[in-house]
Formats: sequence, structure tokens, C-alpha cells
Amino acid sequence: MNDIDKRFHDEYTVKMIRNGRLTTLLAALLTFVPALYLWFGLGYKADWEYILSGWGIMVSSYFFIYIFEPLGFYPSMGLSGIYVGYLAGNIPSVRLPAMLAARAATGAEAGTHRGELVGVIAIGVSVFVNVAFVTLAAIAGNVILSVLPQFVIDAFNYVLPAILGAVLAQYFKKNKVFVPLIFVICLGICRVPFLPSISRFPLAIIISILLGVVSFMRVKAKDPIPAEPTPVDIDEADLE
Amino acid sequence: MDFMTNKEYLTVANSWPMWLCVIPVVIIEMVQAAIFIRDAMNAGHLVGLSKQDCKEAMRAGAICTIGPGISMFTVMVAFMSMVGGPFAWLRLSIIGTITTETLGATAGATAMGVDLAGPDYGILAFTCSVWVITLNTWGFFIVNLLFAHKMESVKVIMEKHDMRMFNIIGGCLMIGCIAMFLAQQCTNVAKISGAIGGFLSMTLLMFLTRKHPRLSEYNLGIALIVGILIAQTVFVYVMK
Repeated sequence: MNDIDKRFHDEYTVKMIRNGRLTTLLAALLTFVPALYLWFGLGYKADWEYILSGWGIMVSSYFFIYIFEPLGFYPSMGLSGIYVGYLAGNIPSVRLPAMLAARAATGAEAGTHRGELVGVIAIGVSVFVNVAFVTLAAIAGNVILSVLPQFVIDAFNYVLPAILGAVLAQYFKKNKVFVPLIFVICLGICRVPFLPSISRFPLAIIISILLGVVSFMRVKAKDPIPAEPTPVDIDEADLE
Repeated sequence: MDFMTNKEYLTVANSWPMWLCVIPVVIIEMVQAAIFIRDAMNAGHLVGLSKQDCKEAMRAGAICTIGPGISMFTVMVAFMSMVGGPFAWLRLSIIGTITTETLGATAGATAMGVDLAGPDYGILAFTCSVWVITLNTWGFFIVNLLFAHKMESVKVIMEKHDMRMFNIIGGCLMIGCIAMFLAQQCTNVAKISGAIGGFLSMTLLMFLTRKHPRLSEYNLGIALIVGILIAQTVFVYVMK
């Protein structure tokens, strides 16, 4: 470790990690406030069995993303970028482009100290701009919802199928066989008589993992050793 | 049995105490961004970062956020109509995109055996969605708090394995869950039309914007509008 590396580590990185963990922990704890207010302030809470079963569905789909996405973004974002990015979110669509643009503007490279600092300044500013837009959208949203015709307001009942259709189209682009196959299987699972609906997700997950293993074996048989370690890239469709 | 159904829960979801519950998280998020910008600028002299470079980085960060910021308006209105202004504002300000948060809200509703924001979706189902979304995001926070500062060594361990395995199986798992969410939505012609509308418009938009990545930021918002309008049209003119 040369002198600059050591000074950078002692004067910046150590403090940055402490601040990053502290602010992340604080914000993470505060995210419980709405749920706790509804529970203790107003007395509304669904039974734990419902909450846990809903959470179970999410954990089983996001488990790999929790762990592997930060790893995938780490080389280009640096540790400071990971702290801000994993609290503020929108990494592929906002944070990463902001970092890359800032580095291009200043001639700094990813993986260097200079690139890390330039990147975190850009990402930090993007947090403020994003919050400003979301706030504006929330205020405008109330006005928009009050002037929209009833036809359009009622159309919002269909947000979920529309988003899911669009997201599936994003995955379909790179998975032309798997996407239609698993979708037909899921449709089949939903139509099986006497199958309790609670077992639908676990079944879909098990089948997806099995199909994933099969398709990994096929890729591996074709090309046993990857030319270079490939970065992790699970989500085609910005999820975090 | 739930109560405050038929969107009555929105009076609670949009109440001012809910705003008080969500504001602290976003304040901490901005404090974190401010601390990181300040520390990066202070450490700049170590790696030869000039005041001009910092300004350039800030400008790049701000400019890159404008496009995605504008695209917030559509998804914000859609999400607000389901979970109310304060919670939508919080969730779109921090980690988790509209897709993730809608899936979380749906998982909570599914666990309660109702449709998200449907006629039977009441205050308890709303709390279930709030809990599931909150707990789901903790997956990112926990990995961040426990492993981010050890990322370098985690990466070395991971790269001993064939990373394609995690990519492929993780990808299949995610697609499987989205396919299952969608399959459960395919209960009437309007919802199916919404899904097909979202799918086809996204496919078309991805084709049209393939040479203009900056324009692709609006794809999801546009596909969403097309999908819900098609669904509502089918509902009004075909099903009724």
C-alpha cells in the first residue's frame, strides 16, 4: 500500500464506512415507523401469519438479488457508491449513469480513488434531485388524480397486470424460451383443482430453480470455463 | 374480515400523521448524501481533485437524474392511487423501484386473499402490504450493513465459483415469481388485456428506443399507461 492509498484509507475510507453504516442503519430502522404507527397508533395490523407469508413470497424471489446485486455493482460503484446507492435505490437507472457521466466529465476511472470520489459526489447530488422530483410528483399527483376523468382513475385498478406484462417483456428479450415456458407452467399451477393457493408460489419457485439448474448445466456443457469472470447481472428490469 | 374496504383505507393512508411517519427516513437519506458529498470533497486533495472537478461531478449527477425524475410522475400517480401519497412518496424516494414495491404490496394483498387496491382490499390488507414492503427492503439493508465493508473479500470468495450459476438460477427464480404473480392476475379479460398491452407496448418501446438509451427511461411509465387504458377499455366496452 503506497502513501496515498494509506492516507486515503485512514482519512476517508474509515470514516466513510462508519458514516455509511450508521446512516443506513438509522434510515432502515425508521422505515418501520409507518407500520408501527398503523399498529400502535391506530390499532391496525394484519395477523403475523399473513405478513410472514407475504414476506416469504418476496424473500424467495429477491433472495439472490439481495446478495448478488451489490456484488455486481461494487466494482463500478466503489464502496461509497454502494452505501448511497443501496439506501436511495434506482441504481441501474439513475445512480450508475450519474456516476459514469461524472467520471466521463472529469476523466476519472472506475476502481480508482479519484473515480470513487467523483462518483459519490454525483450520486449524492442525484439523491437530492430525485427527492425533489418525487416530492413534486406526489404534490402534482394529488392534483392530477383530482382532475383525471373517472375512466382513467378506474384504469389504475389494472396497474399490476400492466406492470407485470411490461416487466416480463423486458426479461423475454434475453430469455426467449424460459419466460413463455415458466409463464405457461404458472398458469397451469393456478388452474390445478384442489391445490391450495398458498402452495402456488413455493411450487413456482421450485420449478424455476430446477429449470435454472438445467439451463446452467446446458450453458456449462457448451462452454465449460467462462472466458472471464462475468459480472452478476440478474435483473434486466430495474428492481432495486 | 377486513374493513375500510372500497378504497376507504386511503383516508388513513393519505392522512397527515402518515406524512410525519415517512419524512424522517427521507431526511436521513439526504443527510447521508450530504455527508458523503462533503467528505468526498474534503478528501479530494489526496487524489488531485480540483474544485472544478467537483462542480462537474455535481452537474453530471443532477443532469442524469432529470430524465428518470420526470418519469416518476406516471409511476407516482399509479402507486399513490393504491397505497396513498405518503407511503408512495417514501418508497419511491428510497431503494425499491415501482416494480419491486408493487410486487411487495401485491404479496401482502395475496397473503390476505384479496386483490391489491381491489374492492375487498381494506385497512388490514393495507397494513399487510406496508409490512411486507418494509421487511422486503430490509433484505437489501441487512446485506449492506453486514457485508458492504467486507465486499472486497466476499468478491474474492465468490469469484472462485462459476458466477454464471448465480446469474442463471437467480434470473430464473425472479422470472418465475413475476410469472406467478402475473398468472394469478389472469382472472378476467380486462386484466389479461392489460398484461398483453403492457407486454406488447414494452416490446415495441424497447425496439424503438434501442438506439436511444436515455429515452428508454420512460418505457415502463408509457407501457403502464397503455396497459391500464387498454384494460379499462376492455372492461367498459367488452365486459360490461
